[in-house]
Amino acid sequence: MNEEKKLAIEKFYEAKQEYEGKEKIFNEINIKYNRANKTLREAQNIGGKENEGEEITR
Amino acid sequence: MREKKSQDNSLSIQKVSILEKISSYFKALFHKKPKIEPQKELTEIEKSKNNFWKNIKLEEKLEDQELLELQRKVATKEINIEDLEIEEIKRLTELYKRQTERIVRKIEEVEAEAEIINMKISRLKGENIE
Repeated sequence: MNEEKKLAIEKFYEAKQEYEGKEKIFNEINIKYNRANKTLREAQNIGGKENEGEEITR
Repeated sequence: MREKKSQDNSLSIQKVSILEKISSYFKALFHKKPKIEPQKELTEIEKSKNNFWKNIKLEEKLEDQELLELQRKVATKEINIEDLEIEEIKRLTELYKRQTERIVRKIEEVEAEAEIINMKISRLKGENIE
């Protein structure tokens, strides 16, 4: 394998790793957001039992 | 004589005090609560929030479907990255960079939305205490 390809693969893995790191953060934040949203719905008492546990998929 | 004068003064002070009480009672009775402007502001936020997610979905849709499929195959190890051409590897790298940039924007948006939700929760809690 030539040097240029090695470098391209290295950069590929760097970009992939960065994306996966951010994706993990996003998923964690989204879980917190859904929890807060559920708390708000319960506080507003809208939707009753039907909407309990409803999550918003981004 | 001095005692009588003092009594008169006391009565006039009491009269003023009673008048003030009546006046403030009627003021409170007929005072209209101002319309809550932040509600309007929240609607604007909702609109821009919806636009944000629409734009993100559109950007995702505009990605090259074949490239996305190639990305999936590399991620599931159906295809080995080393077997790809340099140009394909570079295109996949650029795809990851674009996806990272998008997900960073998504994180910022969700954080902002969560802040609004927490504000609403605090407001509701405040109202319930009152």
